[in-house]
Amino acid sequence: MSALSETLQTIDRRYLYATLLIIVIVGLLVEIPLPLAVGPQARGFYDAVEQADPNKIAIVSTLWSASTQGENRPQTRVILEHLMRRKLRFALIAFGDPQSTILAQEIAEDLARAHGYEYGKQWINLGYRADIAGTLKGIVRDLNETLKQDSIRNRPLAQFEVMRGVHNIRDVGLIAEVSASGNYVSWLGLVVGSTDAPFCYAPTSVMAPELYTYIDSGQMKGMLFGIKGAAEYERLLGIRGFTSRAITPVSLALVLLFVLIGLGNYGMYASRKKGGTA
Amino acid sequence: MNLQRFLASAFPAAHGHWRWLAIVLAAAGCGIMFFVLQALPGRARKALIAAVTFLAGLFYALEFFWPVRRGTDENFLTFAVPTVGNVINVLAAFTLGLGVFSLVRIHSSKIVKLREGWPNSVVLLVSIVVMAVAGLRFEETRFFRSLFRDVLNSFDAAMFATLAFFIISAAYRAFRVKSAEATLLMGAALVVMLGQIPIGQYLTHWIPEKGSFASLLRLDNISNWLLLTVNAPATRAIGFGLGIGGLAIALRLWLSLERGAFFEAKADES
Amino acid sequence: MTHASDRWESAMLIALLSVIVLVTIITAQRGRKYFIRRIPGLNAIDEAVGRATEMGRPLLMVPGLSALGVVGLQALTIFSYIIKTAAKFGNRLIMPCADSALYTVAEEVVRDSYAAAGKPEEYDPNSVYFLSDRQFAFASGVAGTIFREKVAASFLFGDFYAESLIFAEAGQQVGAIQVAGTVSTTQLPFFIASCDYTIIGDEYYAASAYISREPTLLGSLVGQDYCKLLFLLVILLGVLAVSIPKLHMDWFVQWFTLG
Repeated sequence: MSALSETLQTIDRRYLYATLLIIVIVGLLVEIPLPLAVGPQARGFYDAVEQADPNKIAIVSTLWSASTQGENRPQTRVILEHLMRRKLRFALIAFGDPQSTILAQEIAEDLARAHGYEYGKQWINLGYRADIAGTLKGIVRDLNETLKQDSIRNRPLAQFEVMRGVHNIRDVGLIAEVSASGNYVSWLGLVVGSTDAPFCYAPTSVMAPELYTYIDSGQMKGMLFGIKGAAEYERLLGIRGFTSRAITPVSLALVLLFVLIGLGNYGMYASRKKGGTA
Repeated sequence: MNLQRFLASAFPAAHGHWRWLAIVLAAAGCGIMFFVLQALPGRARKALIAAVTFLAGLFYALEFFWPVRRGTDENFLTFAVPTVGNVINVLAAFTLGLGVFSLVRIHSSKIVKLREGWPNSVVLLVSIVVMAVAGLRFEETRFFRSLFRDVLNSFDAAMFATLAFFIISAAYRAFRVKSAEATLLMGAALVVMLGQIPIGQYLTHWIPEKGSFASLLRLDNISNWLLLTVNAPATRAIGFGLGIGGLAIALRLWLSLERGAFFEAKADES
Repeated sequence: MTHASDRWESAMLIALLSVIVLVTIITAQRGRKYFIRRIPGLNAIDEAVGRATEMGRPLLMVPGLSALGVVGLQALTIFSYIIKTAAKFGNRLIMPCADSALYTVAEEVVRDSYAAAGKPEEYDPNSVYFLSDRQFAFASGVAGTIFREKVAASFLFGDFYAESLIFAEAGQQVGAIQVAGTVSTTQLPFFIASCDYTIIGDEYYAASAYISREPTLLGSLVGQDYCKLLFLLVILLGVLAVSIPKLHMDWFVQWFTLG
């Protein structure tokens, strides 16, 4: 018993990793149909897009790179999907990592083909901006003068039909950011107070707990909690995409975690009971 | 007189050959400034840096605090915010060159001296060149898209994915019931995790989501409550501290009060 | 809120907090002694260096993804203290950097620290190097270093993001004693789970103030604490105002209401 309790407390991490790998593979191959409750934060995000002013443009900001695409790519996808379903104009903008703009462009082009969206008429890519604070301050005041041209065709913004009637932040009907970093501070401090447009955030799951303060205060109208949030959004859109399936290995991995924590604590308890070292 | 009009008349936009001349003169000016700064004694250099830092910070502070003109969202400095922002973009571009230079210097030295691991340095330098050439010259080709999407993106995502394994081993090792606080922490963590996944939600899905006392016992509701009512105030408190810390740091930097470790000693040396 | 006139109450609060911090800095610079408690993580540094000496294995110091800013420079201040301790025992050290500008400063800090410890000949120019500014390229490089060198002690101070757990777990796997400190709240749980000692949030700034005993840093820290006391007072008054309507403090609540 003593040997067993010691073993349970010190399972070789290679066995842990192997078990996790098997579970994730099985979870991806075998879908377990389980109910997914849509949380109030994802619903808030969805409602904000549903109620966005159709006469105004939506800004979708991306601040992620390939490393976090497991979570941020599906989030970006569902947001753009919803915007296009509602026939809303939107502008992409990227901060933090130059990869963002390319990755978001790929997703937008893919969805645009499916929804008949034309670049320059219904959507535009404003490109990557290194200076976050300066750009956001400038957007509040004068969007065209701050950003000047798009990143795909390198033409002045005023030449695009999608930017007609868009001068500053008051002409924006929705702000959504998909992020792997803490850029929300800049948006909240510099932009959100100057507009009635709802601000919604889609962070990676590790960042989500620190954003509940802004949900509570009403500064953020909605949030997508990592890949789970994207799956909830798919549920709201009535889509059964890869993200909905990807929740299964996430669930199984957490179950594995519970089992391991239980085994470790049982081993510690048994060891203490026998007078062994914990 | 309007500051914007004054600056526009004093520094009109250059076009054609005049623009190239302006760029060359600016680059030459920067070079001269570099040597002048090197030649300056330490104290004078410190004073100059402090003055420039103060003026740069003063711009943003003044632009923020100066009252806006009635009916507008602007004051006499607001027009310059995009221009000053562009300066920051240019500075960011310079640091990219510095990083590449350092990398090439270190790994070239390693290859030339045949130090341990030199083949890896060869791979690194070749990769830098190939990726740079592909991005600059062949951006629209399948070659670059493959390198970017299939190689770089995949490697990045794979490294991030290793975190899942590390979290498993870290949590297995760390979550032990050694004290009352640890038990409470573990219990809360387990409830929050269960409330976030379908398997956990399934355990209490038969309880109505809202409208009855029993809905308080739904795992997703408990999880949400913990995040909003317990976690949020704690995060907010930490946020207050960090926010005030950030303000203090910004003040110290702006007023060049930041001393210690390096810059003060260096200035005192020369 | 792009201008103070959007919300004068907030602007006045910023000004008040700034005045409090500046006053304490000035009084500290003029000789007033402020007390700060010992940071527990700092005790661990001496223990870690001692252990590395016994094991004859190197020390690893990682400033994270910090750029050349205050967080990065404060990390270097802490590392300078560690190096001065380590130099006495002849420990080898390794410091990979993710920011090229910080790397140049780190090089000088390391060299000067050896000189300050009276051991300039111990300085190895190859001990400080620029690795990569890409997050996961840096992470894999540092993890590889930890495994190859089998470091005895690992000090992780600065700005960290997702790669924090990679460093911490790699250090765990080679049996290194690990001390971490960061202002990134999202990474604190990972450090707490994997490291032996973790310096949390404000303690990070306090650590550099405690080590350097620089009056500016001490005064700033005390000023920040006064600001937090002010916030506490506002919160208590707000709770009273909302809970007891008879106090007629609606104006106070309105002052701090958004929108």
